[in-house]
Amino acid sequence: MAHGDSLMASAGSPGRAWWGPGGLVRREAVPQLAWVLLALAVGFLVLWPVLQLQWRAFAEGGSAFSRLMALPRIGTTLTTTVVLAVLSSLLAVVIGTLLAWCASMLPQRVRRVGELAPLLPLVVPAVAAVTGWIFLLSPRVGYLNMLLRSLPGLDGLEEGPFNIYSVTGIIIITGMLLSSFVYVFVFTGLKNMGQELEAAAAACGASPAMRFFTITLPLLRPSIIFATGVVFLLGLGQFTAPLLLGRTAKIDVLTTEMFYLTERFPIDFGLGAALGSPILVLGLMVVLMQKLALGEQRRFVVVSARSKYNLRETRWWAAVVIGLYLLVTTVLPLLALIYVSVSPFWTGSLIVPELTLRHWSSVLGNKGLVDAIWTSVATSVIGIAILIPLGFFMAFALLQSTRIAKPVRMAIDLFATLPIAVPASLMGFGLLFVYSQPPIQIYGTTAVLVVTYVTLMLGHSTRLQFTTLVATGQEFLEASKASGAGPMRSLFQVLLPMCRKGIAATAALTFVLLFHEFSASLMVRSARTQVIGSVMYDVWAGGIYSQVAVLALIMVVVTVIGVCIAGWLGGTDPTQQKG
Amino acid sequence: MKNSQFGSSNGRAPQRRAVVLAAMLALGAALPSGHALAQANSRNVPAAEWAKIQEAARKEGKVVVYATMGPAVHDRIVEAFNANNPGIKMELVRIVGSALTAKVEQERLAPNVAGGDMMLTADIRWASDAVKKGYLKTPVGPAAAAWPDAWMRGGQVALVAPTPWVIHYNTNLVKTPITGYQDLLRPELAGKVGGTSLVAEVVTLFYKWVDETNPGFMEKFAAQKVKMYPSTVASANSTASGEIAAGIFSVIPVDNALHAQKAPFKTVIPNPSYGFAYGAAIVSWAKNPNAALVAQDFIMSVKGQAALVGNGEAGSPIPGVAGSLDLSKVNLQLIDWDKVTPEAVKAYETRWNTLFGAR
Repeated sequence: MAHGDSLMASAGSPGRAWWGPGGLVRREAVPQLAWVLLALAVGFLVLWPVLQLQWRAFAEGGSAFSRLMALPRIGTTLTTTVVLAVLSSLLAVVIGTLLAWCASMLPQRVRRVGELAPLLPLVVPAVAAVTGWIFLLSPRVGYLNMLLRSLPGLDGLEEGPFNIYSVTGIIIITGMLLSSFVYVFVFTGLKNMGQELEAAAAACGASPAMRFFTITLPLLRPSIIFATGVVFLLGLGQFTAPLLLGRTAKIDVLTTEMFYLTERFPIDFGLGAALGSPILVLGLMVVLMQKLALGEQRRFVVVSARSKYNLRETRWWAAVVIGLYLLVTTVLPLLALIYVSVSPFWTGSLIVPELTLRHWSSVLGNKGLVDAIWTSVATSVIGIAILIPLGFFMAFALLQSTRIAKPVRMAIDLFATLPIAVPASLMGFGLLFVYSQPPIQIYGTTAVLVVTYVTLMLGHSTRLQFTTLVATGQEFLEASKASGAGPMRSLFQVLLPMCRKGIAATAALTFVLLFHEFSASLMVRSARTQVIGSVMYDVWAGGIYSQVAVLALIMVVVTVIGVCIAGWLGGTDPTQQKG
Repeated sequence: MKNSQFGSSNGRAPQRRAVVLAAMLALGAALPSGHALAQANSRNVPAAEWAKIQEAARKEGKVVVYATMGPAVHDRIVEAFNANNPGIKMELVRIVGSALTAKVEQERLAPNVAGGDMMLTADIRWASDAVKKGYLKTPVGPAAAAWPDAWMRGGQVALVAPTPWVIHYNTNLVKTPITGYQDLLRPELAGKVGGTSLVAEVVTLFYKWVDETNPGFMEKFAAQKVKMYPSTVASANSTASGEIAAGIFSVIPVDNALHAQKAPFKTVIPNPSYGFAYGAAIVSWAKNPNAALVAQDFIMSVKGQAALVGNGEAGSPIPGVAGSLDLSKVNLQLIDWDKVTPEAVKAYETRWNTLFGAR
């Protein structure tokens, strides 16, 4: 209404022309046009591959679906996809919530470190973690399995007791990988939650466990629902663990089937699209249900004061639980990777006769591998340089309830949501399809990787910066404008400095996600335009496990450096900003 | 046989020799190395023109090769080429299985991509089709001119490094030596044998051959709960590590890399054995066409062949190549690509999938 009034007043004011300074076009239409252009640009990025792919799936009378049904074991593949998504996300929710609960009960001396510890698995790329787990839990020669077999009662076993090359193995590994994401959401909810009810229950004699199940857990429901949706989407599009663990045991999911299509010519894009259709539909349903269940997202950005007192009892065993989690998810796989990287070859022995740096020198002396590492860094940095401003403006647009026309805002909201709903592997398959043919034929160039990364991370960049903007508040921006500063001056001298830490946190998280990106990169890479994740897969498929270990460790080191740089630029520890 | 780590099928004497192979080898051995033959085929170019090609190649400065062999072979090829061709740098990209031809085809459709200039592929049927479709260039140069016609496909694909598929096993886990495919059916190996999944057409053809020459074997082998790996190197490394005790499908160069690292590992050439040769070819859309011609000619030269065959890892169609595997002493049958049809391959894939489960 106010918007309409202003339009009418402007049009009716004497001396206020349509054109020129202060005219209606410059004041109203031009800014709208800019937002429309933004919506069109991101809409093209996000919708183009998805729509093109779906069109392909339904073309020729939907013959792609006939080919889909003719695939050997397609029923098993579908079932495995769903079972993997459901069970791994359930496991992630249980572990992530338990960790958040434990973190809230950490003794003061270890609180700061203990609260950060469950986030450390995020620094280890999934592909590196899975590789580390193969070295630990391979049935016959996994180091952990061998150690366990030396225990009384298990010494009669020839292999196991764990078999990582199984659906159960994939579920456990995926669940653990996803639990850090749940922890981020639930712990933030827990931190911002008042503790008066818990204290009252404690005064009435309720045990910590009873308080957790009757007070804490019900209060955390919104955070847990949101986290469950997020990890279910990630589980549905899970690619790394099924690809690396499932191939030997012939366990396939829809995303791996799509990937195998890219390895044969001619690529059956229609079949790939048909394979992706169930994931797309399920993903959109989950996002829609999340939106309906949680309503306007702003309601759940907690800005109220926390409870003044920390009444929660502290427990040392909580630190032990977190320590165990860190040991299992991060320390053990990293130790296995280090050991294999300096062994002459991966051997079924806990003691190798000689240690060697041969594989390190081989990787660092291999131009293709080193180029891939640099391409990863360069494309991640370029991607961030595009994503941060793009996400910032999209987030800014979402906050403008009156200044931007509602259809434009809704479109931007949709385009920020879609990349989160569509699994990276499916998006990657779509991007390969649209960018390997005219009119935009950039397959085989670094540009296709940058475009892929921007498309994939647009949603994350927007949502994270949206949270920052909401927490910053509009008051200072309004005050700046009221003091006579123009939009640009207000942006650069008021808003951006205030959001600096949040933006740095977004940059750090985006760097981690991009540098670790594996699924889409594997789809769009060409033989000579590779990133570290894709060459790592090639080396893994090529069977040189010691070099895989070296590359995995390089990924970890570069990630840590990237996060530190982003944190330093932001002037704070970025992981503190994730919530 | 150069390598002592190889076992041999010491049971019966060779029952048959591959007629095709014998004919090819006879041709190769009988070839004159001189000018007479060089003038007789289209791969011959006058010395002045070859010099121009070499000069243009040096201006291009590099050649990009896609190859599907083992890492050790690749390292040898690159090292030898760079040492013998100053001014031209070889960049070799390893692509496993059918992904190689998929990438090449994608690059054909995306002409702006600076992709591979030449390839060393095991997919000879694709290469043969590519000749017919005009995707490839005829190799020229002194070595190309002297190359035996019997080891060319369509005049453009040079068949190089013929080698048998071998069995390998972990000597810590297998105490009674394995000498042939039937030994992989021993009860104690159930759940401990590996194979390579159908990542390339040659893998399918290998299983098909084993199936046809050993009636009833494949059903029993599938019952051994075989673990399938995405490449021969992966299977070999898993055998060396002890994850599996034996593998049905490997090649000597891959196994040799593990022998060099003193892995508890033995390689056996079955008797009879089945094998294949790689196809070296230049794509017509090469961004470095002259450097590709020089590289292809190098691959077909004695020095290039020496890099390919290593220490008894493969045979060579030309005489005088140090270290080449003496194929006449191996009861080897090479794939007869003239008899390979897409329908037969597809039909066998279906059978294999039924036996072993998809992929």
